Amino acid sequence: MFPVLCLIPGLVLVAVFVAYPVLESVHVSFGSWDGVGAVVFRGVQNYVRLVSDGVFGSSLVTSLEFFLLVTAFTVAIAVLLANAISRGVPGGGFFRVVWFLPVIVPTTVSGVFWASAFQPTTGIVNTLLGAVGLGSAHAWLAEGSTVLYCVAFAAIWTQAGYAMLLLLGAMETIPPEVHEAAELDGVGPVARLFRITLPIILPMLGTVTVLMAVFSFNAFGIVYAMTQGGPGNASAILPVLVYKESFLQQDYGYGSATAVVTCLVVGAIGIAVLRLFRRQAMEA
Amino acid sequence: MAVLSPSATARRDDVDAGPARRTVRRRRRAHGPLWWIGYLLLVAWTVITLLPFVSMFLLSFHSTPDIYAHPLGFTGSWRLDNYVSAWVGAAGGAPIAVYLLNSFLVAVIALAIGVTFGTLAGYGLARVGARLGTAVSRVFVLALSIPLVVTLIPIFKLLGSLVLLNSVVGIALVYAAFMTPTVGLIMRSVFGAVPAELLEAARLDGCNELTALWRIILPVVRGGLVSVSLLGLIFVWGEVQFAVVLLSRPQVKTLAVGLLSFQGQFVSDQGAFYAGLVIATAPVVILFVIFQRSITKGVTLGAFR
Repeated sequence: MFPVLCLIPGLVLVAVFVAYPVLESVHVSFGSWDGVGAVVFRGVQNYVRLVSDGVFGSSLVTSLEFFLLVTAFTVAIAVLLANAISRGVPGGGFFRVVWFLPVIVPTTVSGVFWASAFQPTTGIVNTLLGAVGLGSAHAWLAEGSTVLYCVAFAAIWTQAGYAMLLLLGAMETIPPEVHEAAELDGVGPVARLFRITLPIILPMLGTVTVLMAVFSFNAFGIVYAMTQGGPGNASAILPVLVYKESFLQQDYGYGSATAVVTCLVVGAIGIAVLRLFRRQAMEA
Repeated sequence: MAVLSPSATARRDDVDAGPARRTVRRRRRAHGPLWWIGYLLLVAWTVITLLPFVSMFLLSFHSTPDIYAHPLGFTGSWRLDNYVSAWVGAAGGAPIAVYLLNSFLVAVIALAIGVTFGTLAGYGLARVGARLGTAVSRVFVLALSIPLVVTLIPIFKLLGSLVLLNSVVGIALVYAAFMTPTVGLIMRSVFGAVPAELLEAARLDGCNELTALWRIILPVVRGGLVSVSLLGLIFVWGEVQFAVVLLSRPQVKTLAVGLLSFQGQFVSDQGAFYAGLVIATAPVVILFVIFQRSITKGVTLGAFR
């Protein structure tokens, strides 16, 4: 009986601050609310408006681009880093500590640092580029065409260490004999990564990919600190748009509808990725 | 902050790494050009990783004109008064000391509630029947994977009606709630590794289960508690999305969002701005360097449930 009682406080807290808000979000999304008083029911009006809203459409595209960039690069970099450590490169213990460091830094610190690093003329990025003759006047964050890549870079910088650590944990469960045997058979390091390591850690690879996908959709902090979604809405991923609609324009009903759709998109992507990895695992 | 010394921890790490790492280590042979290119890439990523830390640290000792003239921060005159300006703060915002204190208070309250409830839940999960355990774990995993943004407006509404907006307690409750599933799942695997006989023995001594948990089990899982507390602290210290919405008055802002207004106030004093970044980052980096192993262990446990 006692263990069941132990579950209750935590579940109550989660019910009040996670479960109830999710349901309430759906409720608000079907109405309009300006921050005070009661929610006025408006049916599916907000959702109809979303369909024809160009700002929402482009923010959705921005989010998907951001998610693809960040997830793909984070996972790829993390696989290479973890593989290097688990194969015992010199300095592995040092790398492991250093590569995880960005994860613990507050995202606003990373955000404002990288924002100032990408400034034209005074930023460290342009200074380094200028030093090798690639020009020092790029306005990275002021250009709609480059801003998303810069923000994605900063997001990858903050997440890669986390993914690396999880993958490393999985790689270290592989008995070294497996690699030694393959090496004796003349299988090279690249082939071993793709044919031995990755197939074995496939379940963890799936988990990590989903985690990174969710993180990239939650990346409010880094985007907000770097650009606040600008210039215009060029880097406004969905959570930033929700923030602007709700807390800057006081259009909470519409913001809620956007948030609900965001949640559905994340859910769909998560399930799709898990399915993909499960099918791969069955074929292997 | 740039002068981390991970070598000590790294060495300790190698000893504990188990047979897996040691056997790989033993082999020495000539490396081909491909290996060197690969290794160079690892070094390059390390440089990119460390660049912000080194750069922030160096720039925090320079004046604004020096920073504009030498963005790398290796040259120019060195000064300490940037830290004084950052500490005192600029007009229109609170001093950084206030942000630090708020972050600290929020962290203490959130950890007290989140770690307690989460640990209890973890104990419950490890001891209840398989079916209930799986069901509750699923609820926790689901709670973890929900995009925060979908809860933002209702939580704003809820705290508004409880008069807990712009309150350290209000946001701490929210953080505690979002911490609980992670803590619960990690502590479940930690408690799962404690032999059931230990609990039985305590019962035979006439303890009731709560006393047994408190006096006998908790000391055994101290390491796990340290891990989850540190993970919780890192989360609270860096969280932005809730803080931006729930804390709008400068006097109650946490460091993570306080820094954003800080950025605006110190446009003309770049040195103080970087000093502020260093002040915000130093506590977590120092904790990480000290407790590196329990933090990384917590992260891995959380994903392996």
